[in-house]
Amino acid sequence: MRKPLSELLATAGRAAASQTLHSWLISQPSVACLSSLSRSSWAASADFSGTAGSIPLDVPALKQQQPVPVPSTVGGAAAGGAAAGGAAARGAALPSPAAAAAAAPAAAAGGHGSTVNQQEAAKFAALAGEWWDPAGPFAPLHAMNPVRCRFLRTALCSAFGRDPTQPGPLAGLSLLDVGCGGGLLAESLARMGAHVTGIDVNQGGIATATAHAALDPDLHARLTYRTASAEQLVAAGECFDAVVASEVIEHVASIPAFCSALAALARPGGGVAISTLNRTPRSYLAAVLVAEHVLRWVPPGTHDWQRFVTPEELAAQMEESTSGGGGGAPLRLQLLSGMQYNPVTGAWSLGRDTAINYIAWFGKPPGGASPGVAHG
Amino acid sequence: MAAAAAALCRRAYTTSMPPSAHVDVAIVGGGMVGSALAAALNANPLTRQLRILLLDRQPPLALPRQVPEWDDLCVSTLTAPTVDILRELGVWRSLSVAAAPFCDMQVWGADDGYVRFDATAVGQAVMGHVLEDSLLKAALHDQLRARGSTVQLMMPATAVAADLPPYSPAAQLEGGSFVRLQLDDGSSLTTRLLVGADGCSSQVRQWSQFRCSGSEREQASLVATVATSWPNQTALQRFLPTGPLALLPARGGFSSVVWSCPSQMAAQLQALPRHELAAAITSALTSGTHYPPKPRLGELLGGILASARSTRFVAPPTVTAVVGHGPRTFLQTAQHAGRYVRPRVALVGDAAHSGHPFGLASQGVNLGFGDAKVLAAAIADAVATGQDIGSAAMLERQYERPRRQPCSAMLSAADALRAIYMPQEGPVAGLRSLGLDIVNNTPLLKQALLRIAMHGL
Repeated sequence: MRKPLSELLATAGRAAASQTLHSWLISQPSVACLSSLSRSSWAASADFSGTAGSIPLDVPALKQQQPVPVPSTVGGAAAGGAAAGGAAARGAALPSPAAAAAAAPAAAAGGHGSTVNQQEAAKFAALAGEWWDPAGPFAPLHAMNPVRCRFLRTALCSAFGRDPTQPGPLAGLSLLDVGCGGGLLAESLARMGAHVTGIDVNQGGIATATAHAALDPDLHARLTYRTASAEQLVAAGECFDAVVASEVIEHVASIPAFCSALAALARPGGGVAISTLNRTPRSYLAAVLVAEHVLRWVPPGTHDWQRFVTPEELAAQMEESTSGGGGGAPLRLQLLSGMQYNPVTGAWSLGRDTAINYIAWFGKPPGGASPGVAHG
Repeated sequence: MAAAAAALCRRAYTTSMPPSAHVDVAIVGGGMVGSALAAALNANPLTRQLRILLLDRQPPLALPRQVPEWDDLCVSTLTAPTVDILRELGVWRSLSVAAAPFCDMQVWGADDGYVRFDATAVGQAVMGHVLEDSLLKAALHDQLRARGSTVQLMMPATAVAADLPPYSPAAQLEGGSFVRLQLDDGSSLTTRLLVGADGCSSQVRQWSQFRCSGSEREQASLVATVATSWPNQTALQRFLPTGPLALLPARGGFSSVVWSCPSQMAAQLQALPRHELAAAITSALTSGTHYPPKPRLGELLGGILASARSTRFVAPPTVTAVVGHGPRTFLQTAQHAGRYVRPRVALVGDAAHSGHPFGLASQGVNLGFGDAKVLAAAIADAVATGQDIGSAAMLERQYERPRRQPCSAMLSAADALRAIYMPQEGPVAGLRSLGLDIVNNTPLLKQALLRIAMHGL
């Protein structure tokens, strides 16, 4: 039952362009069909159906929406090769304006690196001044901030042997916040004692972050903001105790290259934390249909469901990105948690359900070559 | 009262601060709730390292070596959650010797019908404790000055003005986002969070320009310490047409009288000589055509309802003398602030919601202790997740929203009691005694009400 269905859908999916598929998805509220079709169009360029522990393609399993356990080995080479092939094939199989636009300006922008998606970046540039309004366009991020900080506190304390019950447990650590925006997460990490460098390609966001950090004399000394991309820092050979990329990876042009950059920026013994949205039927319902179109929390078009990454794919990417090039031991997924929103109380909480939002910590084993300049 | 305060006060305690100093939490008002908040922040390892400042007009108090013979005039009824808070703060051990526990409470009106609550019905030994406000404050001040306390006390000192940050983040970016507090000696300080714990006529509430809903009723409270013909063990409260009259057990076998009545009547009572005042209290408790109340339902059902001990009416003891420092009157105000928080400001205790004269005797302070506990937890949670402790969104979500409901409910209950007990004729009056009868003879209902009374809403 499984194989014939996926083959049938794969051929149908290849023919359907991603943009028309996307608009069709919005008009069709039947989610179970949607998810299998769109999975096929993604899987068309990468054969996931044969990979052990992958997302099941049969509809009843999708309907159950069980959290998929993180596999210990994710068909290593097959998935890695599929992902790499997928990245290249995406440009071909998904003729969306976003991807096409990404290829041209990314080359033209020269020096900004290949993971910057200009159209995605432009979405945030327009809202630069409104970062710090808790009731403004970034209200969902404000509401989620305490929960992701709680996870990061636990993960960083366990990775670096600190006591999480004491104030300022991250003292002395150098953190990099990639895609820091207006500095929401960077300030919270600095309040916990760390020295934080925040980078973003959006000049307006950096200006807002710098202005806001100047208001608080205690934080000012521990915060540095720069307009830069992760690739530029890798090229400069910089290195940090830990790298955090929160709600960024769904907006970059090339996920494997981004993961490699993050892994290269973390020193051995440290790690990388990534938070993003999962690519499941529920996340489509919640993040695209409800949040963008029904509740209008975020402007429609903020999130492209195709770009969402599942925890398994992300774990595979992180392992593959370091073992592939550049030396250093592969980053292993050590902590994974879902973040759930309760619409009745309006509160976020950490939990086991990773179907919509999740946050993950990848630890880099100590030892191995540590390239370039380390930040103290 | 002034003489008692002077006797209890050991020394004035002032810290001189350099001009334009910066603190993290500035608590204006060193009363019971403000001191409890400072002590709670000091006790939590997460918030211990914050720079906390406590400001009050009066010098700090100290617990006397020997507990005085008479009760001081202002007493509060402490419920079990409040006693738990005090136990966690480490002050209950020194106070328990001075607190008077009571295990039953009896409520009746000017006509037939009464309810008697017994803590043993819900498996508890005591229902509550009655304790003087000054002793509670003194114990908390001692805790704040103990070795190992990082709280800075500026007592006596007065804050005369405050510059509060605007609501909109854009305006804060321009104008600076901390609170600037001006003191009476000309110095000023900036703080990340300003807490208003300065009582029902709160200055911090005025500076914050919160709208207040309050009643303009001219109601006053007459308080006195009395000796009775036999030691009173029950908290007695009679709802008279002019207001509730409560006789609360105090230590040493004495009792504390809290009589809420129109301010003119309170002034007349205060002017009476002591023996006449004692007689007036006795007659107010025991007078009326329907005294002692005979429960009609109880008579009908006769001996079928076996729990006779807990449903029998306890006649209040005769008040023999007014002792101690003599009666005092306090004007009662009922105020409920429209908001409890704004950017970098939070109100706790009576500053946010002050007591209603028709409420159960003297237990408004329990709401204030609940406020202090929740606000201290909210600040600790903000420190744990790296949030700004003065952020209005955090304060609203973690402090105001959880506290708004119990405080509103308590004030509404007090309003409801007044609506029930004021009318002297009509259907409400007729149903009143029947309602009380039903409550008194229905164990489940009584236990539910008792749990609310003991643990709050």
